[in-house]
Amino acid sequence: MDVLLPDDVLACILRRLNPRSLAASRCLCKAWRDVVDARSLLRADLLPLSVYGIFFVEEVILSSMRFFARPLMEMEHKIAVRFDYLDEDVPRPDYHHLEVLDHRNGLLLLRDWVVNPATRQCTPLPPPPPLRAGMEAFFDTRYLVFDPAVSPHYHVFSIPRVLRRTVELTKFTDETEWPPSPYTLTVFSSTTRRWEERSFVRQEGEAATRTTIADINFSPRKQRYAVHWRDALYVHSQDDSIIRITLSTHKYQVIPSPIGRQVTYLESLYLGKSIHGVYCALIFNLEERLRIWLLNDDEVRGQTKWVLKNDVSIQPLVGITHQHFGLQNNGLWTLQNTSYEPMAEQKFEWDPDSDITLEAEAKAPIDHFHDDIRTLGFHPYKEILFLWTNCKRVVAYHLNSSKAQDVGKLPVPSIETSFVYTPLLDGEILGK
Amino acid sequence: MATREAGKKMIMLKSPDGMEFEVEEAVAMESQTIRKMIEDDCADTAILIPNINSKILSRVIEYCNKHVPTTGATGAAASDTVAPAALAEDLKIWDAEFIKVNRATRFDLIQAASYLNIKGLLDLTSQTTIDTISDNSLEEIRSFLSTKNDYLPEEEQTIRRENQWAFQ
Repeated sequence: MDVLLPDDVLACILRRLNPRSLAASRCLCKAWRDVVDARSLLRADLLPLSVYGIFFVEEVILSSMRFFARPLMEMEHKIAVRFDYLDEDVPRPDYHHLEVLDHRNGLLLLRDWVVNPATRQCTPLPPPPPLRAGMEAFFDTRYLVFDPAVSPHYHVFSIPRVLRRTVELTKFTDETEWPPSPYTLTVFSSTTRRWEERSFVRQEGEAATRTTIADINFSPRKQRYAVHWRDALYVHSQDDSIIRITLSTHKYQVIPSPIGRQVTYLESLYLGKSIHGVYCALIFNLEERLRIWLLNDDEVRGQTKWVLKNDVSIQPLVGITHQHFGLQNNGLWTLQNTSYEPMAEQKFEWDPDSDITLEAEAKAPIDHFHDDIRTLGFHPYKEILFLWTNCKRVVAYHLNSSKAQDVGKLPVPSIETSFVYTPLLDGEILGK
Repeated sequence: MATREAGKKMIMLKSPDGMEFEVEEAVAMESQTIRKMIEDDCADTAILIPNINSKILSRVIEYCNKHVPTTGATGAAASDTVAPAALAEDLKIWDAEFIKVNRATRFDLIQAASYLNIKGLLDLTSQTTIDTISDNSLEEIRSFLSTKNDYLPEEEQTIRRENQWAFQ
């Protein structure tokens, strides 16, 4: 065995593996671990494996990104919150350019840029090809596919969005099947530096029903999130189902949302990734309930099923006040102002007694009007959901213990879009 | 620096066991390591290639000779132009023959390709192993490579936890 792969040869081979395979290789046997460690082949500390904070936008239009995070002084790497390092040639003020559309593993997708706020690198995207004949009245939503543990390359998926006027201005009618098959998406690849059309063929799942443009909820909204998990991009689609786009097989499947198409509630659907895959969080503000599902996805057999993980009353969170966590406390995380002025470091002791346990049964009847509680996003490596309560505190809800732990004060009027941010501390953004 | 054919620069490569190989500069520059030496003007006389014996070095040169891009009429290396399909197919067959060596030789070639930084040769010699590691579970890799798991159960648990993100 010892002559099978001498250390030096093994090192040559391991050096060429992607970080994910390299990390798996450490677990193979001690000799392999020692080869990886002795040569520092794996720099997991530079990968986006830890949560630094939450990027969010207060309103959909005319507001730029803000950052809620651990005080920057504590961080070895300061995260640039303002995009003032973007190319000066960008016409300003053009807030459109600064609208953050997606976040994936440390990279932010702006309308025309891919940005790494940890390294202050940014790469412009070339203009997409003109819309195909008959599709001129469509708008597009863009999503980022990127996993530096697998490949330094990224893709930007541009998914056509049907607008009211689309139906009026084009050959499409309310009866048109949507999404169609084949479903043609425009995809930017950092390998080729080009936008290309890619067609995805519909794969029938057991629960799939055909939907038409008439099924689409045209209410002006808001972020529809996407998840990149293994070989697929899961997108919260316009008819409130989830479209799973499998990248290697060029197929897509429509997965109904956990509660079908009850649009009012689905407005606050948050599709996110955590440790076991694709999760869906829904806050029923009227009923004061939080429900979280995990997608049990058997792609081989085409079977998908949402498994209800949590179904709890959020009444204790609605009722809490700043006093509960101590008025003096801003909390562990704070709203960051700029990229260059480090916050004064605060001493803050976390008090486990202030944790709130959410239970299945509500304690008291609902008798008050209140602002919404909002979902900020899932922790990608722990079963934690971040929530923003109506008293402007951010809490971390632990799915397994059902405890809500205070994270800090976030005094903003509203939150429209938010992404849990894991910094990528190394590496060039490719595709320049 | 030696010159043989008109317009073609020659480079002398020396193995540690004393053998000398005269090769065209373009061929030697298939190795990024040697290219760097030449570009940094560190290659006025013969270049000593440490750790690679003459038997392996001659095979590496054989590989580079076959894979060096043909020089165009202008004298510029035609590395940007795509080789015709027939030529590519021919190279593939040649590669398949080239790699029919015993395991010890293949390991020597991997190390040589790694040191000399010849991407094509490194791909050719190590891709099978890389695919095995990338595409299989730990148990499968262990069985393919006849490697034994020498972690105690609790050690394995710990190291798996450290690298849990890789198994998602």
